[in-house]
Amino acid sequence: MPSVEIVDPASSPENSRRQLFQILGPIIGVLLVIATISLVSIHNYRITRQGAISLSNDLLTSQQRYVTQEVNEYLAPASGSAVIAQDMLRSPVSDATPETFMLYGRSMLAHVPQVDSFYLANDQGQFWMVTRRGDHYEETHLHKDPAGAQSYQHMIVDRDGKLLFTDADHATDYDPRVRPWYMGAVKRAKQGGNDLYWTDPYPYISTHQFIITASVALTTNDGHRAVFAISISLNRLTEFLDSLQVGKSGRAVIVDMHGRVIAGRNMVDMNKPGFDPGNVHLDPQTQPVFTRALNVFRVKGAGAGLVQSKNRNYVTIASGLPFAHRHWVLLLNAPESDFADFASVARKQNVLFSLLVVGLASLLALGLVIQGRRMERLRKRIGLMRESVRAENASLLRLAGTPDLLDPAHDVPILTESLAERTGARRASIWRLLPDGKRLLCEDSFEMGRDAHSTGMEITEREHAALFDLMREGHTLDVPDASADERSKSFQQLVMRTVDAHGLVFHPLMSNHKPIGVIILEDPTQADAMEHIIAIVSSVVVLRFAHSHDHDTPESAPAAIPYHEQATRFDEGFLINPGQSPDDEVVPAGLYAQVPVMVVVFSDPHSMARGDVLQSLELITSLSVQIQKIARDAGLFSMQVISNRLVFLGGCSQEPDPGAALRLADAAVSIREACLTSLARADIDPVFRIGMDVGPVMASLLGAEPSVFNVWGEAINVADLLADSTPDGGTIQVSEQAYLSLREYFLFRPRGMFYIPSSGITRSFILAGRR
Amino acid sequence: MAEDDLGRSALDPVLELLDARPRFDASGLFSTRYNLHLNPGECALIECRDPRQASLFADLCTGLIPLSEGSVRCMGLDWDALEDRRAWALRGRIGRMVTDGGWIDLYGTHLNILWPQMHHTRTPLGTLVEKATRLGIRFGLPGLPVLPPGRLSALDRRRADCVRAFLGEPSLLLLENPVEMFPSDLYAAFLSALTEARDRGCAVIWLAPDDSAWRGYGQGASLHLRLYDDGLFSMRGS
Repeated sequence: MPSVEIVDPASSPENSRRQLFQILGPIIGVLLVIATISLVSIHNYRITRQGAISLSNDLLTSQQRYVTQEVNEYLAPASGSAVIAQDMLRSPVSDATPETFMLYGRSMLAHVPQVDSFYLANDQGQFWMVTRRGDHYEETHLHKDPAGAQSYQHMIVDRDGKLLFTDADHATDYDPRVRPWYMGAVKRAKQGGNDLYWTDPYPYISTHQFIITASVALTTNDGHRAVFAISISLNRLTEFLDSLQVGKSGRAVIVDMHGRVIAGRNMVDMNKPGFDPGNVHLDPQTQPVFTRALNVFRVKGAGAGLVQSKNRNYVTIASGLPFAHRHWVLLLNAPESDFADFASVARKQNVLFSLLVVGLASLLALGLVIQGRRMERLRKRIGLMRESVRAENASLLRLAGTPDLLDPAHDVPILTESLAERTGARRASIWRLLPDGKRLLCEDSFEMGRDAHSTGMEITEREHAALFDLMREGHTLDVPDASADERSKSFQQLVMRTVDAHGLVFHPLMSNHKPIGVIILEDPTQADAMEHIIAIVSSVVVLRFAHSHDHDTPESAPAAIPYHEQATRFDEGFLINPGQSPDDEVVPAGLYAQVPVMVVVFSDPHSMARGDVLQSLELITSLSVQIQKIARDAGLFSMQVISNRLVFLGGCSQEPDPGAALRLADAAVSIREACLTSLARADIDPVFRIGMDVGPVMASLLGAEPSVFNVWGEAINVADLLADSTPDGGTIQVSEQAYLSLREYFLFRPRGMFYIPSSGITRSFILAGRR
Repeated sequence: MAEDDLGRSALDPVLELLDARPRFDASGLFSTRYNLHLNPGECALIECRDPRQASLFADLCTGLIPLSEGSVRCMGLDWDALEDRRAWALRGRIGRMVTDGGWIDLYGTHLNILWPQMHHTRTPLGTLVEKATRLGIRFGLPGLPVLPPGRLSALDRRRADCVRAFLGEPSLLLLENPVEMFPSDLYAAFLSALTEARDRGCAVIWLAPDDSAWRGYGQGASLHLRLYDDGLFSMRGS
């Protein structure tokens, strides 16, 4: 019963919670470990990465300073030259060669490689220039002939100023005073500034130089304004920046605010034909990092930053170069991995270690779960053992409380019941060895499934010699399949097959080293619980059998029952024999669909025989005669006596016979009256009940010479059930089918609706009397 | 200990009242100490002239009456220590016949009979119907009654009372004057079922207004008690 309970009140929710915790606890533990490790790893990675980025920024800042310094130094000759020129070039600029300018120019060109040329011009259009030509120097003068034609007069000199040769070029419409470097310097001077004026970089196609010119205005001794200019090639700045190592694979570039590249990797193809250095810009497709860094600079100004491109992080730094050109910006970038690579490696290692720790933690958790489950199984096993012990105790208690347990004269069915219950056997039986030693008699056999006892079976040594040998040796036989064992094969076929059992435990009972019987278990299922209960029952049975042996001495053995040979009478059960019909026809065997049946049940004779037995017998005889007469007068088909029951058939024919049910009901009322009257006279309660039904029965003659007519079937069963379940003694209960046949002629009182497994929901009625 | 399902022994008492003092204001049962110890298979015959008091005492045994002191333990479990869900489940193991029948007339008698087992167990309905029908026949009904209880005769209702109480193999039977109006055949069937239940280990409390209700069964009982306003007292000679 408790096993099918939806809620087991004996099971505490704490147990369920404990079981849940046993499983979830380790899992949650592992998840916490994983979460903690992940958080720590992420935190470590972030800290390391921030450190690496900070370090990268420092490195880049250092690089930036270095580059700034280099650029400053690269452009420094311009500043120095401007200062010197203001002091050195006081002489008026004329068509005469300005020796000081030339000397200074050649010297600078010889020692400062980035300087490309020097210019000197005045407000009268005089123009002098010194630059390199191969290994020598070219001193150029803008000459105007009297006719007004202009030409460049080139004097090629060596390092010491010694003229090597001359040549000339046309210089149509060239006026130095309209050149940007001249105009810019003059404008700056007019504004009162003494600093240099820088032109925008411009390509010098003939020499493949990318030039920037710085100029300063000065006043010569003759009062004329002159402009001194120095041109610096940016090609070497490109070479410098290109060779600069920023991290492992970083780059540097100088651009103006419009993205035009001043110096850097974009300009390395400057010497190739057709390359226009004045039109090189940052390409957002190929240089997204520099482009983004420049855009950030435009918005935020100088500083470090992080740019992501193509799934890579770059550290960038941007700064202006105001000392060189107010619109120049120095950009540096380097992949983050160049600096933070160790952090990535450390992260991978951390992940590996974390996985290792998680794996170990998972193993630990799994172990805990398994251990928990094992503990739970042990707990259950202990519970089952306690349950077993408890059940054994209960069995013992029942055994101990059984009166006359050791008295062989009293049956003790509890022995086999306990055996079957505790061992889970399909059938448990106790057999006694008869005095001849060659037969075992079944004292009691209990079949669990049917909840039924039986007794009396006998097996002999002739048929089961091996089992008898085992019994005499006192050996217990325990075989899972008795049909496969030669010793028990015959027993299985003869006895066990009736309950389809295969497993057999054959336990001899010994008293004073002599066999006195056996305990047999068929299909036991609880092997571990067997030994104890078998031992207990064996002890009891041995004591019982030992007493029995004492009583079964030859002197005290009862005399044999006298045997009288007499003919068996089969037809005595019928007070009205079906063969006594007027035509004396024998009812053919078969199924009769509509047979009215009545069963009269008298209560246990012992309960009514409170007075004198003879008086009771007299009453019963008188009553039976009256009933017989009533049945005969009513023309009933048959009347049969079975123990304390009378079975009446109103008719038995294949054709519908409504009169048969009426006759039977009429007889029922008469019988009730007769019984009530007779019993009341004898001062006895109405100890009879009557049930009636109309339904199918089977009828047949059974046996031969003589054969006996017998009926059985559903109508008999229902009438029997109705008789047994009348609400009170002395009442007639009829089925719904009988009611339908009789309701027009008799009075009924409905009892109610009832569910009967074989018939479904049906009604029953109490027959009150005739209408 | 009561919370440990492994700790209970089959030899433990099925019902135990340990100085249980009900709260009068909450129950109407006199606030005195009640003591009772009922082992499996034992039957206590309790004489109580007041049917209402008998009914309240049965309520006390089923944990329906709050206590101011002491405890009532059923099958090793203290009612006060059980949460509602388990307490109701434990009551599902108790078979009871109450004085007023306790029938719900809105539904058929069969539903009234089957409901407790349908609510508390997973027993298939077919099995329950089969068992109930068998019990019904045993107690003198032609089958399982399906009419509402109010439309059954008083005697058939008493038979149905028996079916409901014995269905489901209860561990404790609380019977309030169960054999009132019983004819001899029903009385015999009732005693037969009662003896069978006790053999199975079911403890029984049989409350009756006087000892005539027990007829000859008094000798088979383990305890004879009287329920007065000031508690339970053993009957002389028991």
